[in-house]
Amino acid sequence: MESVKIDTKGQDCPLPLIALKNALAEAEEGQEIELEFTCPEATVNLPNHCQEAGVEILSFDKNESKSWTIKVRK
Amino acid sequence: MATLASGLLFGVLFGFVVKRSRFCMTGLVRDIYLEKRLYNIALIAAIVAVEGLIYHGLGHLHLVRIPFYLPPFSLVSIALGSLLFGIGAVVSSGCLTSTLVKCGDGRVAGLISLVAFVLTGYFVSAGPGKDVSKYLRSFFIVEDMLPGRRSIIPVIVFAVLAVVIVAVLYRHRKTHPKPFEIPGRYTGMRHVLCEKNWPMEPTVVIIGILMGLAFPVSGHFGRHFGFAIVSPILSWAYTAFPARGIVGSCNPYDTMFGWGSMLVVGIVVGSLVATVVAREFSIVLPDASTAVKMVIGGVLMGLGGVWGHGCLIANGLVGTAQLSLKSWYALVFLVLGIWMATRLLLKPALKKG
Repeated sequence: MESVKIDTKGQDCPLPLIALKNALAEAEEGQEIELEFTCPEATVNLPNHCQEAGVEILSFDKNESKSWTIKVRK
Repeated sequence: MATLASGLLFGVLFGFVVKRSRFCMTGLVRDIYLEKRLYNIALIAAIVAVEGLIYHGLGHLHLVRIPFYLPPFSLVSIALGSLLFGIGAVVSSGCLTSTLVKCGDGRVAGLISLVAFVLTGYFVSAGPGKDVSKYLRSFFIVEDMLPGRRSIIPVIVFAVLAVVIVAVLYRHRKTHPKPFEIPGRYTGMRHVLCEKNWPMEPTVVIIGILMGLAFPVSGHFGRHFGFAIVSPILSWAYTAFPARGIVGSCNPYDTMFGWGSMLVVGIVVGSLVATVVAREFSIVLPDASTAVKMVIGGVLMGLGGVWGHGCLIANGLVGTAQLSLKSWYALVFLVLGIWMATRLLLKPALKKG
């Protein structure tokens, strides 16, 4: 099962969250999704959504290019 | 000089708190509908209650001037303006305060939105479009008179509300799972000030206190009002390009350069400071479609801010605490505008899982 990569750099909230929700809706059980974003507010609402939806957060990294990457498993 | 410095200081503190907590008023209202987060109502109410308690409490101690008279307002202008402002805030991914915060943290999208707002706001308040604004304000005019607004009753009501809502927030924090913590590099105060996302419960109380204290401080310098954003931003344009017969916004003071003008600069500076100490600063360019949205959002907020006599902050959080009927009326349409834009623009983008 290939992991899904999404780039939302330059987009502000709630677009990164919508992108993650859409990816989760289409993903198979156990599939990994990696989303890169620059919206600082998404550092709150992305993990919050994962927590509430029971989605496992595998990693949450701040990148050198000043973006963040969240990796989750459905 | 002290006037400008104190305005700047309040702006810096507010900008820092908003940036560190990722507070977004548009997001809070939007998510009541989009994410069914009814708890956000308590978060917004906490700001109004704490601020209202400080404002009316200090008013009774004669440390804040509570006006005898609030100007009458047009039901049409406020409704239309607030509706447009709410829509614009969603299109811009945040209201004017978020726009200022974005300018501080390097997001060019914020700057685009701000320029579009200033050009439009100036056009309809001081330029050729001001006749349209005057026309909209000329019919269905009602008095802004709430009986008992200057009595002890608001102090009691806001005191009870503040205690109840803060208790609700405290209970929510204790009974819900701890939010996900971003892995940190620092510890202690450095972690708190430089990288931690501040939880929303203490944040809204701090914002309520800041907004409440803005009344006596700016009142000390002759500006008897609290936080405002629309006119203070436009005051820079009025100063650079003087005009006669300006159609003002939420208060009569901020069409002149002063406390409010520095408040909005302070928000940008506060956001910049919070971003730099967090090592998050970078210039983020929007793609073409985002840039277009920023222009449209900025134009709608320019029209809405002038026609609606204020924004989500001045009407939604400040005028409501002052018990202005105009602001409560405006809040209804601000919320409707945000929800309408969410329904039409954001909901269709969601796929069913």
